[in-house]
Amino acid sequence: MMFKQITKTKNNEIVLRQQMQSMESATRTTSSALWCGLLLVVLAVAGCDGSAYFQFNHAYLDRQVIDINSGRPDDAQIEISDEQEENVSEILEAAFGTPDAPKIPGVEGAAALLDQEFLDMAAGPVGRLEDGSPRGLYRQHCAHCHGVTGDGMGPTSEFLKPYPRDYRKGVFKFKHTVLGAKPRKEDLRQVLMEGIPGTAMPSFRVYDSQELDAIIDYVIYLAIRGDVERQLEATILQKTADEGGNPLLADTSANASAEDREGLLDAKDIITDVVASWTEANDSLMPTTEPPANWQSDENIARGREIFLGTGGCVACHGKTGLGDGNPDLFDTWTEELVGAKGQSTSARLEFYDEHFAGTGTLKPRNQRPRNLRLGSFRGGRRPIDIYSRISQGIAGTEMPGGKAKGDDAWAVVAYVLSLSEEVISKPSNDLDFQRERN
Amino acid sequence: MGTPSLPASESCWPRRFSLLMVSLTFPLIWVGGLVTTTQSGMAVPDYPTTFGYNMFLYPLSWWWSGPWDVFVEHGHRLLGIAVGLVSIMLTIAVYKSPAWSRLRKAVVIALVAVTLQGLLGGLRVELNARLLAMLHGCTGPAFFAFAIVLAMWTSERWRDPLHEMTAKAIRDVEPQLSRIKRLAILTSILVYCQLVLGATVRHMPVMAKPQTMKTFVFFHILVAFVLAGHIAMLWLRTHRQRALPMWIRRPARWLAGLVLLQLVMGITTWVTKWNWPMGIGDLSRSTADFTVVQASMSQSNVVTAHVAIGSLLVGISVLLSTRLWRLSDEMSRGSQETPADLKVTLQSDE
Ligand code: HEC
Ligand code: HEC
Repeated sequence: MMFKQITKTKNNEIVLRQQMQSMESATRTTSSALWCGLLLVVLAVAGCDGSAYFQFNHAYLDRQVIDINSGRPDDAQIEISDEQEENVSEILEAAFGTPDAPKIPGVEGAAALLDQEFLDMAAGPVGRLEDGSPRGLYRQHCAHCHGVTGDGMGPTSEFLKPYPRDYRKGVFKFKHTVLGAKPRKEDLRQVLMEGIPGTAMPSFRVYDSQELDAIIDYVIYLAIRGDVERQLEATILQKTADEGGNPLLADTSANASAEDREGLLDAKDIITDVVASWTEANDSLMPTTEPPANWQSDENIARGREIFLGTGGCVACHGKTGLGDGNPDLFDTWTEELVGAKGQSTSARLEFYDEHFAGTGTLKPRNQRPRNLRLGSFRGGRRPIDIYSRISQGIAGTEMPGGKAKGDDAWAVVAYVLSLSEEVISKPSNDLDFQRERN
Repeated sequence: MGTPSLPASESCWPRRFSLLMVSLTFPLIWVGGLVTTTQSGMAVPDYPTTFGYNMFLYPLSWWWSGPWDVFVEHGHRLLGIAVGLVSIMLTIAVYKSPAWSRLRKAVVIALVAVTLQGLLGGLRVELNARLLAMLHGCTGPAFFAFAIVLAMWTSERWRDPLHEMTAKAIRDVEPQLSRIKRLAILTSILVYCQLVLGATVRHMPVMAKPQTMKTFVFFHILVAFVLAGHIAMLWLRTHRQRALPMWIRRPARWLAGLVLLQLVMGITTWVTKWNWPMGIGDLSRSTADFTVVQASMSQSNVVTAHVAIGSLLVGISVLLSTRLWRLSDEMSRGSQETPADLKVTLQSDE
């Protein structure tokens, strides 16, 4: 009896020990599973932890190829070879260097426009030199949204609305130059200082002024590079369409004959022109008139409203009430290149995207909504002169046109637009509100 | 995994040092978070020297009045050294007192861990590698949790977890304990995974594809809600079970409160970094005009707090799991207890 009990207790102990062992192994399994999971994540991230490089602009090239081919018979379809793409990249690298070692292209005006020291501060990996001066400012502050290439496709870009700017078209919205002109450095600085309200674009006003100068030069550098890339792609396409086969732009090897290197001179011309367009920005300031006296008077606001509703044509997009509900089917210039031709419905235009670009790493196009002017939020700045710029020049890269109201008329519209956000409205889409007397 | 029934330690120095270590590790993690938030990680380009100076001799006034990023990075290094020193002292204290051998091993492991962590941080600077930065950022909170467990091992409660419980309370609690314990352990694992996900989002390499980032952000948000559910359940179960001692129920309550705060901080982090998601800011006039200000005090504080609360959640959930585990272990030991006479026989038998 006693003996039996003892064995039972011993058995109990064994069971207990076994339980403990199994618990131990369970814990071990979970913790090793955890570490494996962590390792996987780490490896996944490590996979892309390589050095930074400029991404090739496939989307633009592909779109041009589609357009050219759609106008050609089946047996004359063109195709751009990897070798040709390589050729474009080589020429670009020769002129502009790499994200870690940027170069100012050796063309007229470039050295006056850009400062190599600034580019060095902005480029490369994040850090500081021994003397304390910063490095990698662009990658530190901007690349997460705008991408190392400046293509607006940084890691964070996809869930932002609107998407970050793709600099490669050289088109910028908020500036004080005439519509088609590039922004001045001051315009870019204003965007950096103020940020863009209502979007993910932050204000960088807490940073050192010189650091901002460096970043601005680098943005211009990326914009020039991206623009040149597009034009080189267009050139090689044209050459392919004209000559057939897969011609290169130029033989970049050192021992190539002068004739084979001729294409480089064309490239140089392209770069020179793009650089010149940036240099000219300073001379392309929009014409301004002083706001007339009492420009914010009730009469002037009423006059502005008339223009807004009538000859200004603002209603077509911003709606009668200014709520931005006039036209939901707009796309901006950047997405125009990815969707079907104008004149179709939004869904048809997006089908084109799905057919040709879905899964290629481009960001899915979204409609651009005309601004709700009653929110009192102005992305390009809230000073009257900022809004005057938008209204008199339009907004580059968007459908918002300029030139509909000039001089005093434009100021009247500015007054009206500014007054919209001050109107207290409970049911904004109501026509009654829109006719109601303002106090 | 046997449980100690030996006194954790007789002297109070191990306890003091282990508590000091916990209370220094948390600010260390906080400042470490700030290093990443302000992207100061590479502000001081050399390690273990600071701009060529011996780390301890880097002039105090330069540190104090220099650039903010240098201030943060150098401060993080000094704090790290402090934790290392405390760890050494803890080891000495434990070895000088008649402590349980497991504790002895543990403090040595802690010392090795804190040294490795320091080296990892240094390597991160020397190699300027994001990957190492992320690893460094993930081992920090793990070390914090470990420090908490260490501190617990030196506590009175660890020696006698049933001390505050009546026999009835023990009987009430016992049938549910293993379920609660399992839930707590699962929650701790999940919290840590969530922290790793968050670190991945934070340390996403600049060349990563937008789709990669989006996937990680998606899972970070998904796990956030799963985790909130887990913690709510944990809180509910411990809350209902009034017989459980306060040192179990209180951390569960803290977890519940902190996870709510953490959800709010997560959303705030998004807004202070990326503005309102999907244009919902345009729904109201008061939100439409918001502008993100990079590196503003509010942005840095919100983001760093989100990171620090994450570590705190890891720490507290590990604390709770360990306590639950200890409690259930002690209870099952109690219930397996053989009658006194038998024990004598058993012992004399061996
Ligand atoms: C969190 C994401 C984010 C970061 C970081 C960011 N941007 Fe932007 N940026 C945006 C978005 C989104 C837009 C587009 C806004 C719009 O279209 O209205 C934009 C637009 C711009 C524009 C175009 C302005 C115009 O007039 O068209 C410039 C220039 C710019 N950003 C420069 C920078 C620079 C330089 C940095 C780094 C110092 C930076 N951005 C950092 C999101 C970001
Ligand atoms: C073809 C459509 C269209 C028309 C016509 C149009 N707009 Fe716009 N407008 C837009 C779009 C689209 C935006 C948003 C641009 C953006 O988000 O960058 C916009 C934005 C604005 C803004 C905001 C600028 C800022 O800084 O945020 C103002 C003000 C404005 N429009 C006023 C007007 C006025 C006044 C007229 C008439 C003279 C007008 N718009 C006509 C499409 C239009």
